[in-house]
Amino acid sequence: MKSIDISPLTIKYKGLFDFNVLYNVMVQWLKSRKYLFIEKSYKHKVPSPLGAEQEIEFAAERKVTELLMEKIGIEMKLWDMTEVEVIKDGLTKKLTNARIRIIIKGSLVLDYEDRYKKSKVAKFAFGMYLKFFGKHEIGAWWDQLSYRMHKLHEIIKQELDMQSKGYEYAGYLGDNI
Amino acid sequence: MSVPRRIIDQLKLTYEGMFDFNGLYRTITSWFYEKGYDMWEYKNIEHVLATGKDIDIELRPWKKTTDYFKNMIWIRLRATNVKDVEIEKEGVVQKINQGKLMIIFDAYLESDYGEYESQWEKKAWMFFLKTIMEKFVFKRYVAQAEKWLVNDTYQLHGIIQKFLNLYRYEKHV
Repeated sequence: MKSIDISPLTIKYKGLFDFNVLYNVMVQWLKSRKYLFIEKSYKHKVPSPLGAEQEIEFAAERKVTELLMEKIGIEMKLWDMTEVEVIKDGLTKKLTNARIRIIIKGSLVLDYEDRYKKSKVAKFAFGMYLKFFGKHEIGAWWDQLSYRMHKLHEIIKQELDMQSKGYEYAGYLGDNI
Repeated sequence: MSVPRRIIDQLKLTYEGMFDFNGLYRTITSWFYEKGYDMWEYKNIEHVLATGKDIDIELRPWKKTTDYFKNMIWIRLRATNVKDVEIEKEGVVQKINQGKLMIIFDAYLESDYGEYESQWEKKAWMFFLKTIMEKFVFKRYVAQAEKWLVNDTYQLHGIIQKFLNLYRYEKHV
C-alpha cells in the first residue's frame, strides 16, 4: 500500500462563529460525496477561566477504482471556547467565540487491498505500471482530490465569514454543490 | 524532490488606506486561474480584534511550464487593522475595507521536479552532471524559464498595483 499526500490546507480564525453549523456542513459535505465518514476523536478538555478546549478529528475515505482510494482528514482544534448569545434579525442565536484551527489533509492510497504485495512478480509488475502507465491516471485523481479539498476549504471560509471567501477555481470540477 | 531556486526574493508592495480585500483576493486567484496555475492556499489566518481584523494569507500556486521546469510564485498577504467601511460612490453605497496591507512576492524555479522524485538527483555524480548541463549547455533554456517566471510575477504585481490604484510602470524582462 503506497500513499501519495496532497499538500495540507490550514485555516486559523479567532472570533464569533456558529460551531454547530460549521460542524454539520463539513460532515454533510463529506457524506453527500459518498465518503465513508468516521469521527476519529472528540476531546473536550476541562474549561479554564478563558474557556473550554476541544479537539476533533474526522477521517473520510472513498474507493474510486480497484487500485485507488481517496482519504480526507480534518483536524479541528478550538481554544478559549465560550458561548455567546447574539440577537440577529430579532432572533436570539447561540454562537461560539473561540480560536479555531482547521487542517485539511488528503492522500491517495494506491493498492489499498494489497493485491500486488503477495509476490515479487506482482510487486515488480505494479512498480512498472506506476512508472510507465499509471502516472497520468494517478495525476488526474491527485488533481481532483486536491481541488475537492480546496472546495471544502472554501465552504469553511464561507461559514466563518472570512474576508478571503470566494474561489475562482470553484467550477473546476463541474461540481457546484 | 529537487531544490527550487529563488529567482525573485521578497518583492514587497505596501499600501495603507481603503481597499476591497475580498476583491483583491479574488483578483489574485482569478489571475492564477487564467494563467493556468494550480492553487495551493498554504495558510489563511484571520483574527477579529478590537482594533480591526488581522489577516495573514499565504498562497503557493505552481505551474509546470515544461516537463522539466516548474514555476512557483509564493504570495503572502498581510493586512492589519482591517475595518469595514461604507462609502457612497455615484449614489451607490459600497462596503469596502480600510487598513494596512503588505504583499510579499517570492518566485521560485524548480528544475527536474519529477512526478514523485527527481530523476537527476538520485546520485551525486548525476546531480553534478545536471548542474554542469544547466549552467553551460542548456543555459538558454534555463534563462528562458526564468524569464517566464519573472514576467508572470511582475505582471501580477502590476495588476495588484492597478487594483489598488497605485503609481505603476510595466516591467518586462
